[in-house]
Amino acid sequence: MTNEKKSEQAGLPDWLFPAGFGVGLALLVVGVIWPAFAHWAVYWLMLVPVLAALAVVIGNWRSDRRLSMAALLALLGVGLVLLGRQLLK
Amino acid sequence: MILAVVLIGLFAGVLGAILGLGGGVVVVPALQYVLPLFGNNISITQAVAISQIGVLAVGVAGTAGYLQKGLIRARTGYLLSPYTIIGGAAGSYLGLILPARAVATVFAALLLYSAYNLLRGLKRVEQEREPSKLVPPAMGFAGIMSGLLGIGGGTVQVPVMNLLAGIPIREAIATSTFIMGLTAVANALIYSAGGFLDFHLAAAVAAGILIGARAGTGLATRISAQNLKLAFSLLLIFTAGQMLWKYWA
Repeated sequence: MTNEKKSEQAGLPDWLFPAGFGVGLALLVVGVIWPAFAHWAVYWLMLVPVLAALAVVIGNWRSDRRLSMAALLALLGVGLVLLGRQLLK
Repeated sequence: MILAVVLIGLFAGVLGAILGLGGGVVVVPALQYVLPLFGNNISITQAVAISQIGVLAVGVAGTAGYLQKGLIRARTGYLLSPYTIIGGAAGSYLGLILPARAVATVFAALLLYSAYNLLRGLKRVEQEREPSKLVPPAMGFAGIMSGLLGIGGGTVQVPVMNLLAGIPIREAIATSTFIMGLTAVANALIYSAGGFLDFHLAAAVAAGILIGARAGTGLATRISAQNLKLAFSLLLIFTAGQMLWKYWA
């Protein structure tokens, strides 16, 4: 893999999204059959991109501060929505 | 009823895999027409909320596949995602406060635009070039549309990334799918806080989409995309007309 390609992959863990997909599909099927578990399946799906962004923030903090800050900004955006949604309740 | 919702997700997943268009454009109108048959009248805001989880599922599944093929520009994606998240949050908030008639009208316009693009073929650029200064506001607009209408990246974000950001089309599609995951998380949180997200229906749509997308990848080589494009375009035009009739007549 070239350096440019490596930098574009942004240090995303290779296993995270495939594992997120597999576990997510299993949880969704459980959630469809037993509605009480549906919200766990949905929350799991939400967690996958958040964990990936967190890995990028931490993994690139020293080597690529701009990328790390962009991922942090994206996470802060989600965090702000999480806090701000209390106002909608 | 729940089986019908899974089937809607399956249909959306298969179409998405074959045509690159099939998330919210299928899920939102289909939920609105199918669920009342089972005595469950669902508003367009509830349908958009459920569609956000469908978009999220496509984001996670698509990213898993595209990462293996090395098509995702994660760095570019993270640098652009703050714009789509801010736009998405604004669009989701608009979705909560705007009258259903206004949302339905914008949605109908989107369906007609999608049908036009399917028939005409999307303008695309294969040569990499310098990004335009219009990329940040255009990504913000893509975010607004995703938050307001529950759509993924195919309709607005991919053309922006390809035509304005100068990213080759295959990588634009992959990177757009990747960005939509995080954007859909914020959008879904807002709709959930507004009390519009039915987790059971959302899980059913998402499960259907994940299975449908896998099946669609296999079917893509056996089905004539040209005939399917024509049929689906006519269906989109019909659905847009029905949606306008339902909310304006």
